[in-house]
Amino acid sequence: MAFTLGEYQDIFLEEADEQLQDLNQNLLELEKNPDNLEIINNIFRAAHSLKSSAAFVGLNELSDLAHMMENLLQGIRDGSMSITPEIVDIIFKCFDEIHNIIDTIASGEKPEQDLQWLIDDIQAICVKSTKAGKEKKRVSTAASGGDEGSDIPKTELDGELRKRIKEGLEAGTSCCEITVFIDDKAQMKWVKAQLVISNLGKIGDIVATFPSIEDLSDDEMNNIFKIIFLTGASIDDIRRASNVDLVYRIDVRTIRLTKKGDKVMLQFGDSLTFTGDYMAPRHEPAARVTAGSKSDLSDEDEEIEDMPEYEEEDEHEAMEGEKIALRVGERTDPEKKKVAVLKIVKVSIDKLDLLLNNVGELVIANSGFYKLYEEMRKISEEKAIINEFKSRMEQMSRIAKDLQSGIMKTRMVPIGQVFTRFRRLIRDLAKEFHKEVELTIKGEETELDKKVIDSIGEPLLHLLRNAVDHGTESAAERKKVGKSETAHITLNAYQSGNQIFIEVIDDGRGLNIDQIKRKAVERGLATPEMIAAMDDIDIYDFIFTPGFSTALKVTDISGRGVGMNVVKEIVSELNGSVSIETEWGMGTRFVLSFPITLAIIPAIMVKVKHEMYAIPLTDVIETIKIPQSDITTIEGHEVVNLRGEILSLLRLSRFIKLESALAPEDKMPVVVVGFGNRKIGLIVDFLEGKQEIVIKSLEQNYKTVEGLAGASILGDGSICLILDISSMINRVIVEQDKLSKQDWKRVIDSDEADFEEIGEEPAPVRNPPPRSAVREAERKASTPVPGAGKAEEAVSKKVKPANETRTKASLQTDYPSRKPDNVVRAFKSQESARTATETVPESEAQIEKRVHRALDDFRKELRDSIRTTTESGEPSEHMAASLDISKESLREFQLIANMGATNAAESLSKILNKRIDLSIPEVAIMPIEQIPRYIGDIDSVYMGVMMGILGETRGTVLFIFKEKIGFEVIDLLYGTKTRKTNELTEDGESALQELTNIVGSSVINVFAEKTGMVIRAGLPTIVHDYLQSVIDSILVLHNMLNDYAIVMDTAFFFENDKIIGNLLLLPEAESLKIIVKRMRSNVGSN
Amino acid sequence: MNLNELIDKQEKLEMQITADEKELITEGSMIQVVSFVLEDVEYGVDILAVHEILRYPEITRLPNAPDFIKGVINLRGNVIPVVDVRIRFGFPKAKITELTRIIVIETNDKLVGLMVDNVHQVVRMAQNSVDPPGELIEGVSEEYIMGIGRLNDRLIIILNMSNILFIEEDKGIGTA
Repeated sequence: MAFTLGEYQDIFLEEADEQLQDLNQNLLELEKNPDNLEIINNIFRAAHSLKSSAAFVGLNELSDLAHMMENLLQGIRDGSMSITPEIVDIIFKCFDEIHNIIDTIASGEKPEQDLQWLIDDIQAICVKSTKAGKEKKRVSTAASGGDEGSDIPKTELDGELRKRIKEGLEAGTSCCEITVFIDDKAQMKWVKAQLVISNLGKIGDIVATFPSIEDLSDDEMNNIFKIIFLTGASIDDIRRASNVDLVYRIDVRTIRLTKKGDKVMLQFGDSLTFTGDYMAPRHEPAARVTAGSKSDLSDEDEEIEDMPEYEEEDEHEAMEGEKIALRVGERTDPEKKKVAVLKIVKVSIDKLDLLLNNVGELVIANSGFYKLYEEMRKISEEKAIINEFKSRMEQMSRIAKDLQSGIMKTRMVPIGQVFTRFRRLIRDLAKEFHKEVELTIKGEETELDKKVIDSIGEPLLHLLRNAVDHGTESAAERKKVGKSETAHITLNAYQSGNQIFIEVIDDGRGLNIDQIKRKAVERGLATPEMIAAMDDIDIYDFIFTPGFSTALKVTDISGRGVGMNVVKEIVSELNGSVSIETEWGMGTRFVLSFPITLAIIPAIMVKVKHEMYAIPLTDVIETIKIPQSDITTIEGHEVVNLRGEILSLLRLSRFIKLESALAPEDKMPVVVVGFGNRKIGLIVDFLEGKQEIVIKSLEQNYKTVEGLAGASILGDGSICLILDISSMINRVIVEQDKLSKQDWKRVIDSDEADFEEIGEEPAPVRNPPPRSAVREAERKASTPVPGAGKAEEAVSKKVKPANETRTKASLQTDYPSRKPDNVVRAFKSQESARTATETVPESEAQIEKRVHRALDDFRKELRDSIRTTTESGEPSEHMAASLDISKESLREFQLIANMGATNAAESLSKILNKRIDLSIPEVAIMPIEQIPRYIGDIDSVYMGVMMGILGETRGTVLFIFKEKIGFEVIDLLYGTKTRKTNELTEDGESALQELTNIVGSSVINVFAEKTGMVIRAGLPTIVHDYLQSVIDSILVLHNMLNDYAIVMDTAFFFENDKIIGNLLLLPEAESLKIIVKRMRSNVGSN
Repeated sequence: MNLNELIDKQEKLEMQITADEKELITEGSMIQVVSFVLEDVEYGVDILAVHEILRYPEITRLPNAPDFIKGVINLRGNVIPVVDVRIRFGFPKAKITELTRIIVIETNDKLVGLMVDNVHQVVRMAQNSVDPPGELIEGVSEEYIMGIGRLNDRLIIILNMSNILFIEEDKGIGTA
């Protein structure tokens, strides 16, 4: 039976939670500013309300504890006790215990924590501190005034001291009052005190100490003492001299001479506080206390009389002065101390969901009115009433929608509340590991879905623990490598686009990639060969594997290799992802990203027969249509060759056990979906477009159903089910793995060549290797990976390429070269060449034919689309006319340009050994000065390689990339590590020139072939400059005379749609005419 | 559950309840069941578990769910599963008619719809007239039965709601 506090439990827990947060926040502040009464008051208040509410629900022990805390704080408030680290610690302990109790209650158990020890401890501290206070009173020569004195001894300057100070000041030395705070834990404090005094004695003259030097020798002494000090040394020197081990704080107040009327007075200046190990100076609000010569009572509050005869009063006045000073302090920087408190009503997420449901219903119910309105309009004569009805109805619908989005927004919560929790964690962890760590929090105000907020704590906790334990180095180690001794950990949150990013950054030692590699091999996650072929990013991903830990020793909190796995899992559950950036010795950055809201997601709606299903857009890679004839079946499993990749297919109709409505001759819509590293094609009957949907769980009233992620209610009130892509992909993979084992045998039995290759590398890999490894393995036919990749490999030779309907055409590298004379340059990797020859030696002719067919189809499609675009009107007619070029000529040039571009893409694909997409070439006539703008970003640096067209026709070929891409291309060409190149070396230049040479020539070849003219390419020249300059160089080089130019522009893309660059063809107008003419005659004669 | 909600339910059932009958509901000695007839046997669902009764709504099929799950419906923004009681009890499927009803019950904090051929009436009977399920009832597994109520000549099988959604599946899958 769950423990409960009765009907007020919920309210109590809610309140207690708030007070705990309050307490936590204030405690941390208090540690930094132990003197701030405001904070004490806040803690006092929290303790007080906790006491009442605990008593109210019958938690007497808790109430007692809170009461003790209150007592303790009361003591501090009224000055009978001062804040010591001991007190701060005990308050922290109380906080922990209270937290424990609240947690226990919240989890439905009876709290049985024994609090008596803590209560006793507080009692002991109270007694001790008060005694200490009294002790000091006794020691101090001053008879105490009205109030109880604090632990800080009073500065009492008698006539002689004043005289000495004045003399010193008049002699040009400076005078200050130094308050030294010694750690409570320190043994033999008097030794420390003596040490400080002797250190200071070296750099100046000690006028007096409070308590007196004699009293300071007593081991019973208080841990705070004051020194009045005359010196010529700087404050910095004083700080250094006083900075003895276990002195945790030093306050320095200068004493100056001021004149008031004809009286010379001593005045205390601002107090400078040095705390912590680095003792950074911090300005304390001024405590201006003046010690003047004998005079009347000053009318200014902060000035005190120093008549020795009235020592008692004097003391009293001093107290007053100090108090006022404190009050002044409060006034000057209250905004710093006060944590912004929002006016908040706590609402359970269930209630919000309920509201959201009802509002959704309202929106749907409202749509019913429209029907009604239509009906009424038909039968009613009363136009006015009908119109009134309509406007009211519309108003209502608007309100309902506003309400809906308003409630959606309510689910969004600032992440600050999660972040602030970690301040304490970092403080404790840092202490535990004896490291100096500073946590910086940024972007607290970033709002996230409540569901993410509720679950994000755990992954962040793991990341932060790791950061402190493994990420950061000890102070000594940091010092050795020249970093600041304090390690910095940053928690940052921000929104970008549709995503929220949360970063955990440390400036520690970074991830050790070699260690990860070694562990990965040790644990059998990958073979050394695979590792060698993997990107760094994929290698870092290993740390997310369950049980993966590179830690040499397992500590209490980390090193077991569970944490990172949990991080990954939780983040994936929230539809998010984790990425790692790290540099050895420099630090690590973990970036978690989440969709802004989980309540509403964009989805692609698909239909099988009449049933509607939603696929979350985040899982969708693309949607295509393929003819059914392109599907190949292997052992009952359907696959299609999509741009050289084998894509496993899953018929949604089969998955949901429904007959498909598609006729065999229909082209099939396929939604290519991906999860993790895998992707499959989902065959559906109809694509119904994109829609924002609200996710509802099936578990709430039923349970998880395989293949379904939930349900959503559509505008008409009907339910649409949301597909769970990850489970569908898993099912396909499981089936495929089964298949591949059978297929494996079959391949071994039937295929000699394959068998030999397999024999070379028999070690099976259990876990699916990361994507790049698979890719690599596929590429290297000699080291195939058993499993899915293997099946695909075995299959690839039987699969013909699909003709997809897509605006971008695609070419694959793996096809053997179309024209034998089209030399494949040395850039092409050897492996790939081997793959091509080894896997498909017998069917080369067939494939060639198929490639031809595919290309022809593509060209036809291009032509069709171009025809439609050109027929819809030509805006540049005027320019065409000025160049004396007809529309027909342009169109024909376009055709030939298309072929050239296709050819170029093919060559490029071969050289880069990557699939290359190209945009449909655009032929345009434009003013020369507009060319740069037409191509790209005129303010960016580009690399352009230009090549003259020589022979019977003239012009320029320009292959142009953005600088960054240029470097990437160079990397690709040389097969070096990505992002290695960052400057254009001679080698890089020649690589780009060679590339352009090949690509450009493939265009020119087409022209030559089609026109029968003698055309050749000139030498490629490289220009690395701003776009404008690149273009200008061409114009200069080729002596363009006209105001207008004909430009053919094709953009090439990597398969992830990242642009590579543009290929431009700038034929001279006369040449273009010749080309067209020759082409015609050539075609005619064919 | 307060009286008003009960009254609401009664109204939905289009039943007339007199004032003194209302008092009876709250008395522990009496129970009320919503009864329906399936293949000539009368079954009863404790009225305290009944959320509401609906006419046959639009049902969305739930693929890969057990066959007795007819699908899910939208109950004011809640997605709730509907159990085809005929299939659940091992009877052949029947046509959906004007009389087909969904009895929405609340069990284990979940809302579940029971699709039945008809809703017969609300029956009051003394608590002590309900016997534990001793003899086997033809066709219906004992797990679904809480007891057998006797009202004059009528036998009403009082159903145990907590098992209707999950029990057999668990057995079938072999996980407990």
